[in-house]
Amino acid sequence: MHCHTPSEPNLPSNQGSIALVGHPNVGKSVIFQKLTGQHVAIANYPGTTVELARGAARGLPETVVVDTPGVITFPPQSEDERVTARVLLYEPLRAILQVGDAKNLRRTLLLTVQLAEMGLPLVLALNMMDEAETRGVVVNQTLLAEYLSIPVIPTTATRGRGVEELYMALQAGCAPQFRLVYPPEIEAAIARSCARLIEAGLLRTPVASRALALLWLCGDPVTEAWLKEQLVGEPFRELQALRADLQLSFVEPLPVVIQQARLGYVEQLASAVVVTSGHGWRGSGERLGRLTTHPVWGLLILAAVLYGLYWFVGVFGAGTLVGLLEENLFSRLINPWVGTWVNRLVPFPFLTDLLVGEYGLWTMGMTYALALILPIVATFFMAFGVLEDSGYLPRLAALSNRLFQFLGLNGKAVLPMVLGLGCVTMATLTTRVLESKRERLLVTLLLALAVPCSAQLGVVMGLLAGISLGATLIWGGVVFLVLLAIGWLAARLMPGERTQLLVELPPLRWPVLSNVVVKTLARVEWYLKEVVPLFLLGTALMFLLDKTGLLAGVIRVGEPLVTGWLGLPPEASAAFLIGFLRRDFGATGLFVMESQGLLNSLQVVVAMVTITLFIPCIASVMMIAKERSWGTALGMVALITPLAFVVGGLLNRALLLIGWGG
Amino acid sequence: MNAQGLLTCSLCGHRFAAAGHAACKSCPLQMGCEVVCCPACGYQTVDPRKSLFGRLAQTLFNASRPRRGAHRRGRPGRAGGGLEIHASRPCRGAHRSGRLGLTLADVPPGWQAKIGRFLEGIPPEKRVQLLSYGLVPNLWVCVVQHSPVTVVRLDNTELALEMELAGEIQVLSIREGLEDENSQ
Repeated sequence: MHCHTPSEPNLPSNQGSIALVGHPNVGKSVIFQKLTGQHVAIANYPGTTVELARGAARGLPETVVVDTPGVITFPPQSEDERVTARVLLYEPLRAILQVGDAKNLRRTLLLTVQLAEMGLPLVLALNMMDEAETRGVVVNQTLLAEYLSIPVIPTTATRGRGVEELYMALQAGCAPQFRLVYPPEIEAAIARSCARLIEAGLLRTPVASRALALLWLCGDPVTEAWLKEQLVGEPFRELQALRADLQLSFVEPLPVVIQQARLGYVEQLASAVVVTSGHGWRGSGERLGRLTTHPVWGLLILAAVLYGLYWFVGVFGAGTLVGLLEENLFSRLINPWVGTWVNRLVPFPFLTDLLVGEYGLWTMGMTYALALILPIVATFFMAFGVLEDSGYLPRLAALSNRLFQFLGLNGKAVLPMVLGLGCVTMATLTTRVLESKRERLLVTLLLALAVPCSAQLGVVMGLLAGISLGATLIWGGVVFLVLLAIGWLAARLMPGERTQLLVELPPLRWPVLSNVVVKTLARVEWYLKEVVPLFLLGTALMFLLDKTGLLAGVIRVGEPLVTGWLGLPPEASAAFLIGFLRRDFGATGLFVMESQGLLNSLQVVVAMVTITLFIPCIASVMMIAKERSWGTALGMVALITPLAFVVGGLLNRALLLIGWGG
Repeated sequence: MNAQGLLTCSLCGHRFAAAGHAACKSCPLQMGCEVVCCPACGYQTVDPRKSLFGRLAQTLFNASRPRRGAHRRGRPGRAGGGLEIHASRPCRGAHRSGRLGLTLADVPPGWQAKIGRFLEGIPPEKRVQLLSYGLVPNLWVCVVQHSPVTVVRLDNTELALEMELAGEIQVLSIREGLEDENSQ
């Protein structure tokens, strides 16, 4: 083994938080949950955590645990991985807790070596021991701990096994005495880089200066940014020259050379500590997993999954549950009761109208949010939770790769796109899992344009299912065509190369009911916090416009567009107006109009296509601005809003021409 | 049909080359014919290279049943294991990419491949990513499928990668069977 005891000059301090670091989908968020008692969105697919989650460790006083996005290796490749790299350099850390997959030890150890080099106290949690045992993988963790000079704790986080031992190891944590020897040219460059850092006055570094030098030599953008902040002028240029000189000594790029040296060590280490390496994969899960990525069976399974989703959300959620809540509970019981009491207790007609009038905060805002949208959103999040936990989504990435190739993307884009069916705002954040800026921008555009969120999808499905299957197919077909056309065009106009798909396929697992239920409730809570204030704001706006007579003005101004071009009744202007706040709110307004008999089949289809292609909601625009820039966000609004009306109007004319549903 | 282009007669079990079968040339029905006659017994077998439906049906049935020999055969590479072919001859991918030698994209599904070096078409960051996933030279991986993407199994992980990317990874040798076996 190329490893001996180091004598590091720059050991970091023992104050600060504990960072949970590891590959995607190895159970970091479950361990975070066990250590802190807090819930973060967990799923059986990479990219669930794209932002940092923080929580106080239950067993460690005054210690904060930070859950980081999964990272394959350093230097980071995607934006979410960069978040993790930033934690290591910018966060005052007391220790690192690496969560590794016990059944994939080589891969786990490759990251362990990099983390051990950082010189911070390190604990390795070998997680998913149950799956490793099932597959016959046995690891000698005592020997592994000895070689790496770090505590190695076997865990099965989903069942809470090994969590107590983790607390103890973290409490006792001390810096690993580990050093890997690289080829002589690289060792010389590391020594010279460390000397430059000391000469430049950088005596204390967030991670060991040797690790910092290695990250720099590998071209890590986060380290580069950090060094730029710390060093000015000559020292930084010297480091750049040093790296460029070193590259001349090797044919392969430096990150590859350095990684190969680590791989050589990891190979020896794994051979020494893996007692048995498993007996392969067998069983129905493996066979079903293979069928899900098959070119023919995979599509049939996808069709079955989509049908199941349609039935659960569209028929059960938007039909049965909404019927029960809206017609039976709210319209017959709650709203008349609230109306009676408000009229009795509030003496001012203006206030009474504001609360329970036509545009009342209760009768419109709360009823829309709780009776119409909540059941749809809850059923969608539940169905989505099952899909996430089963491990189906990465397989969908493989299956849909060709479609996304057409859109200048790769199959990984399916993860934010499907999550967008839950909530576009959440999905915009998840575009961080994509590797290039170009891909993130393309997917953000498609999400904002043509991916309806669950709330809207439920309303649309509920409305169209009541007309005919043909109506649903026209709506779906037009939205899909717009998505393909705009995606194809944007991919050709936007400069840059498409990145090729490389994704891990986690094993298919049975979703854990408690996890799905907890996650659904957490998302519903998040949703209510976001949606109820916006619904109330929208209702108050409508109320004020109505009272001041401006609503009639808006309807009159919008008439040429809404009635003349889209062929809808003038009142639909109000729905489009509140669609700017949330498009599901706008769709719900159209839903109510249809139930009052104001819209025929053709008008419903045109209205639904137009509102689906609208900007999702104010929150999503803010998220686009936060993730990209205000310029991008406003540019997208300026592109999407007229496009939605153009497509809606063209569809109106096309359907009138063929005489459909008029 | 196996990787060497051999068909097995479903009546008598005789293995024969589908390409250039002498009897076909003299057959009056050869125009548009999608079957081939067994030279031993004359029984007609569908030629999956010519018949689209035949190919489709074969793909369907191949996916729904376990790979033959995957569990029955002993650990490949040991005594009694599968046939090992060293990848020094030109191949399908070689013609496509203008290079010599097999790449991962050329390995038939159900076969194992020993990883060689990464070719120039892979950008450095993708190389590091591949290495970090454990796809390293001299490792035996099992190729599960090529469509819609190439899926390989290594250690206890499955990786999905685009065919074009797989076409940039050279393999040193291949052998039949999906049994997990690495050079450890």
